[in-house]
Amino acid sequence: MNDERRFRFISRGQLLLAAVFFLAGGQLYAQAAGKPPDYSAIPKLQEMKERSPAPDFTLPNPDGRKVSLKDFRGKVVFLNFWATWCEYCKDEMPTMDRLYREFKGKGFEIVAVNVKDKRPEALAFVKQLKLTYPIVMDPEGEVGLLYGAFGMPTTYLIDRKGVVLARLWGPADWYSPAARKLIAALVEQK
Amino acid sequence: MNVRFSQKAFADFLSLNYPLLSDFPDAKTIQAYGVFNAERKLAQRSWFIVDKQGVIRYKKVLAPKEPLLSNDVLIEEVKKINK
Repeated sequence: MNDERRFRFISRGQLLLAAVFFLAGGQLYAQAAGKPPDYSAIPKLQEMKERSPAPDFTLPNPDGRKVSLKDFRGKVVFLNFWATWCEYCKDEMPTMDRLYREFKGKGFEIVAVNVKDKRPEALAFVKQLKLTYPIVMDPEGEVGLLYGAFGMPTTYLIDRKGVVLARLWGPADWYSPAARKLIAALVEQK
Repeated sequence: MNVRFSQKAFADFLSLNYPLLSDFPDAKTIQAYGVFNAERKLAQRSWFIVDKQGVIRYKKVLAPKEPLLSNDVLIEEVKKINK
């Protein structure tokens, strides 16, 4: 096989793969359309029926710029608490990143609060895992305490109006079909 | 800090079946019961048992570094009051 033909063959293969992913993604959105979010599809994810407003906070990002939760009003927010010593976080965060890359720009945001780590260690961790979503630093653990992040990871799902929808103490595969379907259903809600 | 939100998370985390109340930020009730730690601006760890008539029948305030009170002690005190 000459180079040109091999190139053409690879291109067709890639096209086919892209088409499969596109169709699978389309099917996922179609399944989520018009249906209420199924929180029970994620093991141990608790729906918060009180529908409390998510308390606002302001923390610096790694560059020192202040970031507030309310900055993301109008988007579905995936609020995650993590630490570098947390092995479960190491497993979970790459799945969060894949989720983020699929849904960013569709009314979805991840805010990942690092609790009580030193900045260089936290940044090295983020670099090692090649994470692309926003990180903020909570050096005193005050916001972690406010949100009851007694164990890591802890995750909250917050709707576009800033209301807490669900909470999970522990890790999840956030790029599972169930998780993607849940996020697709949440971003569809106006 | 939004203490109610934080307390709810704490109660959920421990699966508590009894209500938690917040005396933040005034600490009026804590002061009324004489267990306010002015330096740290929080309550000293303490237990009060109030009988059906609303009378305090038992009080225990822990000194710093004193071990926690066992539940057995509290149950015995409740039994004494109920006799």
